[in-house]
Amino acid sequence: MMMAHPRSAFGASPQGGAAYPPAKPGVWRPLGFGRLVPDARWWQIGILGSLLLAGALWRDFALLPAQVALTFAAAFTTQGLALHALKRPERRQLNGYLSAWVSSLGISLLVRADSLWVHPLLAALAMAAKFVLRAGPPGCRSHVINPANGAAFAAALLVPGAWLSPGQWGSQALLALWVVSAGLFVTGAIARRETAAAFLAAWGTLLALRLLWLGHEPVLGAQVWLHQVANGATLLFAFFMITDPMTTPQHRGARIAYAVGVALLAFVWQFVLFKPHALVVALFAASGLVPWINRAWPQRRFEWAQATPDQASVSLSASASASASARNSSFTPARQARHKQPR
Amino acid sequence: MRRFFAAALAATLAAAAPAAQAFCGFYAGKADASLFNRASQVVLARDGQRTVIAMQNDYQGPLAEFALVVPTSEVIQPGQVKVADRAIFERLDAFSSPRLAEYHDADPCRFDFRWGRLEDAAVMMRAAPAPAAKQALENSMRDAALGVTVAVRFTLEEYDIVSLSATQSTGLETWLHENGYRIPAGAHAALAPYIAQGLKFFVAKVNLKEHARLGLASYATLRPLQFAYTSEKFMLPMRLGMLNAPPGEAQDLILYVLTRKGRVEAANYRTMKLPTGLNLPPAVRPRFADFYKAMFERAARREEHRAVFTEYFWDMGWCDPCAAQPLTATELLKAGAFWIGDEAAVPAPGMNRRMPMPGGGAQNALLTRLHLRYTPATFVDDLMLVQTGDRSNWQARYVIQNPFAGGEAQCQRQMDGVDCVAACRARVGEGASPVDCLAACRAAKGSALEQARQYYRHTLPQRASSERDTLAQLTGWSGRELDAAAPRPSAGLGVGDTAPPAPWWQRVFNTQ
Repeated sequence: MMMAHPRSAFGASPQGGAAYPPAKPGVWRPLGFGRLVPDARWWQIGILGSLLLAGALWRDFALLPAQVALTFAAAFTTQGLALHALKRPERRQLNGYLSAWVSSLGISLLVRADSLWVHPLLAALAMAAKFVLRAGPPGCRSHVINPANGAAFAAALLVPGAWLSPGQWGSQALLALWVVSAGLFVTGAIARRETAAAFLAAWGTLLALRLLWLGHEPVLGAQVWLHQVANGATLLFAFFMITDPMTTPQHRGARIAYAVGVALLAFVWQFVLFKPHALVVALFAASGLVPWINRAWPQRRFEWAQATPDQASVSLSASASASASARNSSFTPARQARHKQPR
Repeated sequence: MRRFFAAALAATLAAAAPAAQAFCGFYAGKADASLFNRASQVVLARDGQRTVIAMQNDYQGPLAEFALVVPTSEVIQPGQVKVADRAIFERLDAFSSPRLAEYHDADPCRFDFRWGRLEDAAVMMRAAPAPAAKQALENSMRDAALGVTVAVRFTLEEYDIVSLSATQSTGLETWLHENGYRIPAGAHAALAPYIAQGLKFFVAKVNLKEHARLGLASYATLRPLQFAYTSEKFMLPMRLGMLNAPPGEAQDLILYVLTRKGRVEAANYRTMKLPTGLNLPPAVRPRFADFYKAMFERAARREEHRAVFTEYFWDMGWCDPCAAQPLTATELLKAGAFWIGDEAAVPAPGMNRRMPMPGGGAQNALLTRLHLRYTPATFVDDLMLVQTGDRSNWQARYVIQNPFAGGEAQCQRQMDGVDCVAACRARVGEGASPVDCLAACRAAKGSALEQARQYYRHTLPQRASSERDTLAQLTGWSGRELDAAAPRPSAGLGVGDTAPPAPWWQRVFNTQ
């Protein structure tokens, strides 16, 4: 892994000036100005923000406002420093910082600490890792670790005085409904519904099989199953973490297999080895494989701003994706050549 | 004030405890019997995979009908189990309960060597059943037919204990019935998942002869059992305890968890903290138990009995303010914190009253007190626990600010009793004019009266009003019930005062 130009944020930043007119930065797109389409990260920010607010107000999260503020400050500072150091064009644009925003919300939602230094430290490390730990085949090079996942992993297993509260959401129907509907919307906007569906199907099936094997009574077994699956943390993971388009395989089939693999790994971690925080750990462990998967099943890399629902739906097949890239002229041979030269 | 508080809260737990609670084994009995696991408490000490668990409940039915069944990861050998001292539960309760103190050590000097004696007792027990060899053979054949393998069977003080494994749940249910364990019909369905996981079962019933011989009849409740095992799973098998409970009926469980690294919370349920640090009306003092019960009830209902409440989390090395002295190293060891004394020197006998060290390094144990109120319909899964990295101490604490027992009239009388002339006569020599002195004296009187007036007419009613609101909000009390615990603010006037409530404009114009 080496330093390369980061064209992604959480998440990608747009591909320089070719794809988007620099004069109209991302802030206007969600408002529907011009023919530009909203960056799906705006939806993520809105939904994760609403969840953070709901958590703080009604789920009495053990989270201090200062921790949230420091998370944001550290993430934005790190992102800004890295963008400036690499002289990325989006360093002066709002959309260069969307990923910091999304990651800060994710870290605030997941990580709990009894001090003030843990959140900014993890946020800074997570954002820095995005620029340092990069791998993948040419044209599909990206950061390896999802920042929120990396921070959660570190909080669960590495950093003293930090922890995760997997039970913090409970298993309430209303919350589950909101996460699922918002999740379906966002994953639709980034063409990753099949990943969430594959993960939930695999995880749900594994849990159901286990309960069958344990010989639960059908009614109680169904209740236990629902309790385990309709858990806020699981749903958030399915719709907002394992569906991160930048740190999961680009090829659709491979991505489905990947989601199933993560579910399997998590199942083994939780129900065979009886260790906590299975989903976070499994995704962290599996993310190292993504560059190899992308090499074995090459596919044009996801770009945040192109992912409108209509374009995304056609870009699911390789040929359609090729035509989409031709339309956006964001993946020209010249660019491809630039990809091959590490900076 | 803390003293007051202590007194108030001491009443609390004594009264609150019997009202609550259930268990992770099960009791059973006649279908119609009201053998409810009314109060169950569990002490769970865990470090790595090593676990020591002690269980106490408020079983009040006939002794012959008591049965305790706990799934364990391994066969519990005679040396691994003991009859624990109930004082440990009392000490942990006193130390961690939502109150401020007065409940001092329930004789921490009592030294109990039973843990060490167990080995010998177990050897004797094993030797005892030898004579009935033929009967034993028949029994074991029957056991095999039911798929039950008895790994060990022994009597420990007043308990007959069996540690067994089973291959089929109906066989186990039959076996338990045939061997005199009164477990609820249909228990096999709840047993099946544990059998499938390959868990063993720790089964206990009361040996009536031993119980009588030990002279335990005077005890209101059964003595707790405590056993040690190794398990990867940090969990509490609660589901078995719900077998004899009506589906909608809530049971309570208080779980004391001793760990080394951090606070413990539920991994598969929400863990919440109760409201804390709030000021309550002084009249709540004699009714603190009612208050706490009502508040907890309301909080549990609001969460639909799907949440775990943290009542206390503290380093065992110290406390502030202390409801009771922190447990000594010996007590912690008895509570199951097996690592105590590993790193520090084990205290010599008679030195069990070590002073707690500020900062807590001395004990190296953290206590999390969790309170669950659940129903079989809301806690469908066993309670999975997880140790967090959280080390910030927390407690459920409530404050009563007692008003001064006086009144404006009293103040008036006091001021009337001050003779300004006499007072000024004594001060003439100080150079001030007597007239000035008299004026100053009268002004001081006026000021004192004014302050008293402010205090009795504004500060107290306002405070009472806000305390009353807090109380109403926390407990959901209203009407007469609320009035009893929090007299209406107009009644907050000083003793002997009958002044009507101040008119609304008074605060604007500051007139009388």
